[in-house]
Amino acid sequence: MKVIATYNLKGGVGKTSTAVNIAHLAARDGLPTLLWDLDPQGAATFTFRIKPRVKGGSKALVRRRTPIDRAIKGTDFDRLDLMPADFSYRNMDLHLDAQKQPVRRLRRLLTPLSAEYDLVVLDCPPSISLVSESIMNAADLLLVPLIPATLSMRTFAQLDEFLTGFDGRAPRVLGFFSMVDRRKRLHREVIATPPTTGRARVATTAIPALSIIERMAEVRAPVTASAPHSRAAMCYDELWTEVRAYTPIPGAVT
Amino acid sequence: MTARPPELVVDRDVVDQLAVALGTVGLTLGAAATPPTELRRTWLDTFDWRLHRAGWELEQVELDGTNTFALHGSGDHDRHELGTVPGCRVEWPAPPAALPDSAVRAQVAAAAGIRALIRTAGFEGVRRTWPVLDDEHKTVARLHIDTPAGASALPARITVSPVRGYEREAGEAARALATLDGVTAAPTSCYDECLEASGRARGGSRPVATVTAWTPAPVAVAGVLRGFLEIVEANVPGVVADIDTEFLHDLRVAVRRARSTVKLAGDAVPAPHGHLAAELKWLGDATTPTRDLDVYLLGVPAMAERLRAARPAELGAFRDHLAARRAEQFGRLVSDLGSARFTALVHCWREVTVVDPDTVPPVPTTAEFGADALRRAHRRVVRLGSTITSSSPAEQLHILRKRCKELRYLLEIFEPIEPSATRRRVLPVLKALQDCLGEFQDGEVQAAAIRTFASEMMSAGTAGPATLLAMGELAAQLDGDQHHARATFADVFAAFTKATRKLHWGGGDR
Repeated sequence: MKVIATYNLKGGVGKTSTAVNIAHLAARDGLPTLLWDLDPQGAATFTFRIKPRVKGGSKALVRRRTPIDRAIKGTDFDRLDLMPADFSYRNMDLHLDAQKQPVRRLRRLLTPLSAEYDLVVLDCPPSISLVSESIMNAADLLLVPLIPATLSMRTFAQLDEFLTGFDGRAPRVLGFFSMVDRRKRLHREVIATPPTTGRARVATTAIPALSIIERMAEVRAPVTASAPHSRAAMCYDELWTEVRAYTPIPGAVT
Repeated sequence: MTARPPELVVDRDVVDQLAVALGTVGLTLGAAATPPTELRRTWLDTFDWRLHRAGWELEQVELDGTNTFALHGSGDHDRHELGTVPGCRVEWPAPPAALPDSAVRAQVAAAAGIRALIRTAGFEGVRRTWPVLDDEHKTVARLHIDTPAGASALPARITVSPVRGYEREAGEAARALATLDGVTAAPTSCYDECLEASGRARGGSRPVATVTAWTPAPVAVAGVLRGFLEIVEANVPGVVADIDTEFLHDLRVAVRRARSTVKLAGDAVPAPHGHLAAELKWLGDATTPTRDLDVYLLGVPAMAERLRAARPAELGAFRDHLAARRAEQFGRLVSDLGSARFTALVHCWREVTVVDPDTVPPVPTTAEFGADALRRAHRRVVRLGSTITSSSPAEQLHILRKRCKELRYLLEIFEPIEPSATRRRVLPVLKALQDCLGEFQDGEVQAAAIRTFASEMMSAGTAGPATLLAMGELAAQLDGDQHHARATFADVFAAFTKATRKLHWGGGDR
């Protein structure tokens, strides 16, 4: 089982859209996939029309009082399940901190699912915290949406640096440009000169800023399902192809 | 594990009422049903129902050309699904290895052992599916209506399959649908219904004669012989089709038991049975070469694991030789089972088992007859075993093994007349004695067979030095096993005689 986390310190950069569409594409390609909406805002959960509620909340999950598989809900799509968001996830830092080896906790929670799923996609909240570190420890790949802007690239470099000195199991990092508007000169310039130093890599696929992606919350379905032939869906498809090439997933056709 | 959905039977078209029923529990029926899709459900088990006996039910569902395999708990109140895995179409019978690599296959293989999976029942028809939605328009369940094809007498069925995490909603939907006019909870599963339609039942119907202590002995013995004949007849098609090796094994056991019954209890049978005894020997002998080769072939992996000096791969040519010999012998066996002699044997066997209960004398009863037969069989084992020393010829141990088997068969045949306490005392020590003698005999026969095979392979030029050395190592190991069995015999036999010395045979459990 591979774990991919869509992560960025900033909010509103396309983490949830990416997590939802990548998870749907993986399931479409035959991989039993679990999407875990770790963001207390619950946008991914809302997209799949599932109620953002986990019995016992974050505390029961972290303490394993609620077995993780009991909280999982099936989506409307074959092979794709969702671990819903819960508003109590806002306190997950505190609940993790009360545990021994909190950074390893998330990975341990996911371990029993390895017989059932080939891929777990974590949709992360925008923060850098104990939850983020636990996610980094659990993930095989951090998929980082990047707005093509100077500060965004600086943050990406900081993340790379942080992971270089990460005390634990560090994931690979694949950035990709998100919400790209090629009419903007800055976007064009930043994309033309992606960072090449450090461990992290930037994908060649860029996800454009398209209203169809914004409307996912209205349609309440992945764009790869509701409009599979749209430009947005094709871009996510290309990104998924790059992800599989960068981090081979058993069972996935590359 | 997930709970299995309840099933409902429908005796009329209720499609236009489904939405109304679901509305009463706050659910809605999705607007679009899938187009009618060809459905083929196939239930699988081994010939001797090993999955059923282990509490499992394996189903292959072919829907519009897509196959899935589901393994459920088969208890009435604990209907859980271990898993559903996609796979390709399989031509049954086939070994469990034909299932897709999964937890389902592992579980099935553990329960089935070396037996092949065969089709036990099937359902063919058309499925229509509707999504069941909650107030967020999220699919919480899928409603299927399965209509049998053609002129089937089976009723249409409704199942409500929950989406994971929405079992409560699916249950509410099913309960709401059950209130519709023309819809009722299915009294039995579709599997049981399909089995019944083909005149079968789960677990099969084991042909066991009903014997009590007071049953006249001729009636009891004839019933036992009839039961063995039914086992033979049931297994012949599986032997001929070469589905798995257990068909032949079970056939041989039934023949052997029938021979012992004729020999030890044949006096009770009014019909002449001298010819039957001779023909049973012929049938037993006809099956021996193929069965022996089956045993060797099944044992090759274990033999390979025991090798110390040689490498397992060096037994490859040996395995090929066994397979070629087996194919040759199997052809002869099939020919024998299709012969007029076999047909005549079955006819003769059936005639011997025909006894009119109204004309046979009431005595001896099964209790009297059985107690006497058991006493004599036990005495024979004790007498012969007491004469065996460390220098006795192998043949003498082989004869003792046969006498032990006879005692075991009699214990099984006359089970109803033996107190369970007696059986509990005898069976463990008898089994230990049989195991010891079996190890001795296997060492004797198999070591000799390996030497014969080596000689055949050398003559044919199919064995290199490495293979011959590996076979030599195997023969040496079997020789060691035989010495070990010989060394332990005295203690095992002493335990048998001590435990059975003061037994009073028969007369119990009346």
